[in-house]
Amino acid sequence: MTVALAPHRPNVARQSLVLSRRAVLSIVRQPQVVLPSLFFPLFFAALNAAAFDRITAAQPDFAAQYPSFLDFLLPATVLQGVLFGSTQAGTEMANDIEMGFFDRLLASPVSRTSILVGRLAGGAALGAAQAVFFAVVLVLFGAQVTGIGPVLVLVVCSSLLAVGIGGFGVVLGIRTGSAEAVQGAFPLIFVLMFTSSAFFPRELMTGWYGTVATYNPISWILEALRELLTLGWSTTEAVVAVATSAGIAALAIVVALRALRRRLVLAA
Amino acid sequence: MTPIIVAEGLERRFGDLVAVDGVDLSIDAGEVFGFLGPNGAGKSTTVRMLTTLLKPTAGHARVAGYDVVRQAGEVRRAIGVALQDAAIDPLMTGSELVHLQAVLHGIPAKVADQRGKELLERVGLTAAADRRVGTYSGGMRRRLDLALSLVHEPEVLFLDEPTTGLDPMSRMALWEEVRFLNRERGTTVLLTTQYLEEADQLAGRIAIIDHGRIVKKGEPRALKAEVGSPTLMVEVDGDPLAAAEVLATFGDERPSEHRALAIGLTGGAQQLTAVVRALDEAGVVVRHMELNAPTLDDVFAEATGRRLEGAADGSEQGAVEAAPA
Amino acid sequence: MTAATSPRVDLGGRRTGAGSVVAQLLVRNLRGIARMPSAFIPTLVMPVFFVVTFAGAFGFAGRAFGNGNALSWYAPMAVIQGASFSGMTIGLSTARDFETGFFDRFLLAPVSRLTLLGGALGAAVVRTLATTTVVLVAAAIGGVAVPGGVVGVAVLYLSAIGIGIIGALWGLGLVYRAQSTRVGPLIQVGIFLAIFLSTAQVPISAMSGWLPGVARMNPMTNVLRMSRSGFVPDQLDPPAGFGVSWAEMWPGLVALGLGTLVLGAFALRGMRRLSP
Repeated sequence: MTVALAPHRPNVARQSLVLSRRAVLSIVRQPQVVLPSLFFPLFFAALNAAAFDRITAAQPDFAAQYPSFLDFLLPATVLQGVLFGSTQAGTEMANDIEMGFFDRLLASPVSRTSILVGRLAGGAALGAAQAVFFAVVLVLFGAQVTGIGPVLVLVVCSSLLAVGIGGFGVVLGIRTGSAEAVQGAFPLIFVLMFTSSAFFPRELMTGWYGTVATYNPISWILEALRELLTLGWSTTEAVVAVATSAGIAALAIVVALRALRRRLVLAA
Repeated sequence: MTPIIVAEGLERRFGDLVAVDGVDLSIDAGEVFGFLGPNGAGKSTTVRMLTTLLKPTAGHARVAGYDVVRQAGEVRRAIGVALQDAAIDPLMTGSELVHLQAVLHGIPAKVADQRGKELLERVGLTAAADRRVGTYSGGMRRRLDLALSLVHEPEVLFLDEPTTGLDPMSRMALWEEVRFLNRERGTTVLLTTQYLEEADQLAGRIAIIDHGRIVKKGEPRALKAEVGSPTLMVEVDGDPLAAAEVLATFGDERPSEHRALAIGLTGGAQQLTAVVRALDEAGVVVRHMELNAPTLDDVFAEATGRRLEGAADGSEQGAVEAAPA
Repeated sequence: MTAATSPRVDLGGRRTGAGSVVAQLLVRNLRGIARMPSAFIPTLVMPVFFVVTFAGAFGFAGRAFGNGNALSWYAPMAVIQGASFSGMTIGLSTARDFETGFFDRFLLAPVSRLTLLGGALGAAVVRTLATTTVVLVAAAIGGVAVPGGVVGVAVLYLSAIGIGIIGALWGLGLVYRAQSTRVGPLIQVGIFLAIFLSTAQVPISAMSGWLPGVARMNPMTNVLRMSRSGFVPDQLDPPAGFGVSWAEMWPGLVALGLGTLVLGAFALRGMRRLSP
């Protein structure tokens, strides 16, 4: 005698949780991803502080706001960490596709949203952890922060950016099904960061470089974060930082969902 | 006849794993020698040592009169090698690859061009010569690999699993080529394979290797004759115990696949009727019965207690299907 | 039984020189780039990107860069960076040869291991010439001044070639041992550390903290000084002025020479371990 199973609606929240857990565990179990994403940004911060502290300190306006170049670098360090860690989402997506796990998911009543949420949750969690970690370490080395509020904004933005970058990585993973292609896109994000005021003070930029940096949304986020961290709480700046980050995350999610749906149509 | 390949106590360890455990070989010039064994038996490792690609951890070997470790350069001049995975560069075309190979072997450019064309024609790749190798099929890659191994007219040819994964026609073509080379040019050929039929068809002598050791060596015909009695394989419905008892009276047990029972039928094919009668009297329902003259698989089974995996190609007599009761 | 033999093909004598082999390996390598440019384009683009962003960002601090300007400071550095990347790509393409099994063909060839290495290094040099030229053109468009003239540019090319070779030896040494592309990140990290823990970004006089000590010990600092000798006036104390001077050059030459010897041994040993 067989027991009839009552049909049940897919519980998006629960599915998302399960898939998120899988993604987070996967990241935690891969120290070769986590450790470089924690180590290298710190290394760069130390290196660049030692290299550029004196040159920038010679500029009185800059020196007034940033007693140490580390103060300037904290948000950029977090951004670097996020960058290192969030290509993982796309790579894992590509791997899932290659290994058929993805098709199994599609054939099951798992909602498409939870597939995406699950994938990105890992990166978001790592992003938040990184922000806290870097803030603590850099403060230990002499950076100054103006309070907990700004640090919280930093953590939130970090997670949102992880979702954003991870999301675009996932799109690549879905479209190409190849982990190599996703990693090949890494330099592009690198370019995006360098054409912003992430690593260099925009006030001091010369020529067209400054113009490009002004229009780069990454600049808006990082400058807002720097204001919060060095000058104190300002609701305007907090809103700018969070809204822009959220905007990037939202855009990434929309594009990713669309790519997911397209793939379903192809697979059908 | 001077041996052209000699190995004494050839051994290769990888950490704790002993892949090749003391192999002795003596192969004469002009022979076609087969190295038969399952996956992981140590065939490829042995070949890599003989072709100077790997240093033995113990023992020594001489090919074409040169020591493989101390005179590797001279050995390389005398041998041609086609390895298990066709060694190609997908971005190059067939002609470019042959040309590169020729230059690497010291053949001057003009001669290289001519030689390249000839070889490509021989293996039937003239039409595809100017296409990138990445677009070749598996069979084409193998043929190219063979052409590459022949560029410098080697005295000794090493072929590592040359037809694994090939379709039957390509396999036949390759066998023909090997026979031609051996017959017309006197090229000595050492080939490794997991296919019994290939060893049977091509090799004048074979060595069966298992877990890094040579367990049998000799001419295929002689080895099969050594096994002696044909193998009777029986599949029954229900409990095979009764059938096993009956069969035990007709010959010694032999290794078999799945749930089949196998014995060496000591009395030969004439005993078949008696066997059937005895099984019937014991109330056994026979599903399937097969009588095969000894094959290399049997030789392998007798030497190692296992059947060669997935390669039982050698049945020579028909199978007898029992009618449903 | 003697096997019948048909007359052997006349192969025109066997010993063509190592030169032909190296040339053929070079041709193959360059052909590979032409057929799959995506592997090499980042190497061409990134150094240009670097010089543009750094010069743009630190243009304000011109005089701090050895009494010159940021562009003159960063252009040679970008050239050196491009050279090291060129060397690295040779390592990576060799790793691909291992993964396809094609490298066995080289090992089976009756040519000396040194010749095979020579082919790879030749390819590294050609790639380095390409990246150096690209960066110089970009810098010229950006308006870089070359007070050291033709000699200055020649010295820059020389430094680049040296670094290209050393970068290739580093990459190859690792790849011969690992025989796979997994070792890529390690190659990159090594090169990165060598370049950035030096006067790549700022002169020693501008550094603070632990960096000056490390930079002084790093041979790359000497190579960078040599490469900049035609571009930057005040690299030494007392300043050597515009134009190439021997004082700026010889430490760089020593560094390049030693680096080549040490890493050359590293690579050769790795290759010899592959097969007898």
